[in-house]
Amino acid sequence: MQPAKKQSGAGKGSFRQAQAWLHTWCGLWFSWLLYAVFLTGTLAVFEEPITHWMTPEHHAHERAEARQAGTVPQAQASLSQRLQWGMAYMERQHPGADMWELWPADSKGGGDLRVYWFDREGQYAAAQLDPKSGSVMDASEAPKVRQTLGGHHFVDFHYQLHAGQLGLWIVGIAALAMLVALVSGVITHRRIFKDFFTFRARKGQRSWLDMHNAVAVLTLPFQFMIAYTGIAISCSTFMPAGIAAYFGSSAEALKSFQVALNEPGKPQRSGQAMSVPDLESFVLRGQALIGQPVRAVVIDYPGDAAARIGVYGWNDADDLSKRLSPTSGMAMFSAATAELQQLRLPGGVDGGAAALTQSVIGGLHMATYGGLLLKWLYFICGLAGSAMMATGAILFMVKRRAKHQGEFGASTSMVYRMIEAANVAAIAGLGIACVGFLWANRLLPVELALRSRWELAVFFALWMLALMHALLRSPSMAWRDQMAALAVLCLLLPVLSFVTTGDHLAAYLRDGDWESAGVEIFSLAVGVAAAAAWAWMRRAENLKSVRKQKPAETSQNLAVAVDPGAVRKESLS
Amino acid sequence: MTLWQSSLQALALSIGGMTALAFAMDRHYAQLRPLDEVPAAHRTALRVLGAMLLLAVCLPAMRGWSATVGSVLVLGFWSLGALATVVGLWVSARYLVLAATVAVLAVVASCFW
Repeated sequence: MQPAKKQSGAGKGSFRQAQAWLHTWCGLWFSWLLYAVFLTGTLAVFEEPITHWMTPEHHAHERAEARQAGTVPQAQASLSQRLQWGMAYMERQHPGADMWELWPADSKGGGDLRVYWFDREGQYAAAQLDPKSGSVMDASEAPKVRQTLGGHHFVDFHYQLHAGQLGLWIVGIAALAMLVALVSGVITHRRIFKDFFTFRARKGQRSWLDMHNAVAVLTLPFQFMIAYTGIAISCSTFMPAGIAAYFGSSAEALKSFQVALNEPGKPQRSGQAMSVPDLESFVLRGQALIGQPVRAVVIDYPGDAAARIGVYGWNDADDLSKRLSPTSGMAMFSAATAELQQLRLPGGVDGGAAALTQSVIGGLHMATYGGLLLKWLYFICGLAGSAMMATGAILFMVKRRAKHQGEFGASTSMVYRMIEAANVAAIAGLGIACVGFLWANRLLPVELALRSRWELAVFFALWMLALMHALLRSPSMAWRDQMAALAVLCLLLPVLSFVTTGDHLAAYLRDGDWESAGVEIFSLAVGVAAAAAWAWMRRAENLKSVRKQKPAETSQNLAVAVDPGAVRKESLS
Repeated sequence: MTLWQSSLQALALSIGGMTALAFAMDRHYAQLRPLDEVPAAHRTALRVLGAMLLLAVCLPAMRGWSATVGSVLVLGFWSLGALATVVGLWVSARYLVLAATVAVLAVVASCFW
């Protein structure tokens, strides 16, 4: 006897049917989380412009700096002088620290003078010195800047959901599920080449499927790359067995692993005292060897005879855009003998081919190469990836609105209702939460304690509210309400910014502040798109109710024709 | 040549190539001419043209950036070109042909200018 043609479920039916089942369910259960990871990851591409917009107190300072740079150049302390000031501060204030790090100047020899060290708790600490006098700059004299996570919120959320290692594992598993969904999707898509450029508008379920296929298939290389590199970046977390076998699994062992990975050949303290030699000669040699201006000078074990001095370079933006590995040059010297111990040229790595592969994978994921244009390419492909998740999740319900499939037995209707609510909250609700995060940045008082946490709280609270709203309202009304809210919040964001800070889009454009202008223009574009989606949903709903009314009227007319008295009785009652 | 010029050239070539490949298909060819099937000669010519234009994307991408970065960017430009072609086919097939032709001619002109 032939098996039934239509079978569903894991391992049932033909290979393609089994893959379709896998694609549907693996895609659905992870689509909400993956959409959130993808959308925030896409926004994270422009982390710096978002942070810039979210710290308006810096704008005036940056404008003044730009004006100064355009006029007569100010007398600046030499590199040698800056290094001496940095050393003098460290010797005076932190003689016992395990590490000193001096950032003497920017790539042009000017800019800030900063110093870093490990404090007694092993934490990274910093101070800023006056580049004109070498004295410590008093933090209280600096303009009060709002405390915010800025665009880093999106970076942190997209890879660990603000939940540390647990979040990293959750996102890692979701990324693995995405790879499964991509492979099974390609196998399922029978007409992948025939429908390559196909989008049929106003065809209901068919249109959603076309859209899902188009955004997924046409950006498939990017989607594979970003999911795979996202997992590979955190391979030491996801595949800890090798590290545990060689180094052990205690916190101390992990520290040894980090040292072996990032600081190969780091010596132990000798216990013999030796003052740190003059840094200038090391810096000049280092610069010549790596072919880059000095960015940082790192001294391990200052004051010990085993001390070593590392000179790190500034990457040139143009050069960086042309290579996949983003590392800068580095020259490491023995402080005692001035012997060159280690040399890394720009783009190179310290640990051979495997380390270079890891560096390239990191660069591929984080778009550290290619410059601004590549960031836009990532942004567009990231939006396409988000659209792929969203259309997939919506398609699941559009199919089932037309035909109940009873996958969950007696609970099917309830589960469908939950999925509808999750779709609304995950897609529209996340948008509201993201723009709400920007509203919180402008509305929360600058002096508020733990302000950045309050901004985060607003983000999560709005998202939870969106979920509750989606559970309480009918799906169509929930979509419309949340699209309307998203449109209003996005369209009014520039107005809010103007009212609270005095900055506005025209001024950004006039001053050439493209980062702030970009954030507000994108917000306006999303607002317009959300308003258009709201209007489309409203029209579709009206059409549906007109269609429902028509058959009712027809049947009423039919009733009048058959029994005029019945309608008369109804109207009298 | 600036990176912006290289990107515009790569994008234009990609849109041109994807458009040619799209019109080598019966469904999209029918959007231009009332025929059920693309004539064999047209199909071959469009496919060859499309493949050549897509390969040509490598030139501005690798010249503007480098061989390694350029080869990654080529995939991105192909995706972008394909997305633009889908949108163009949806809005108006005739305008897509016009826009793609102008874009490719502009790239050719920019090589001599």
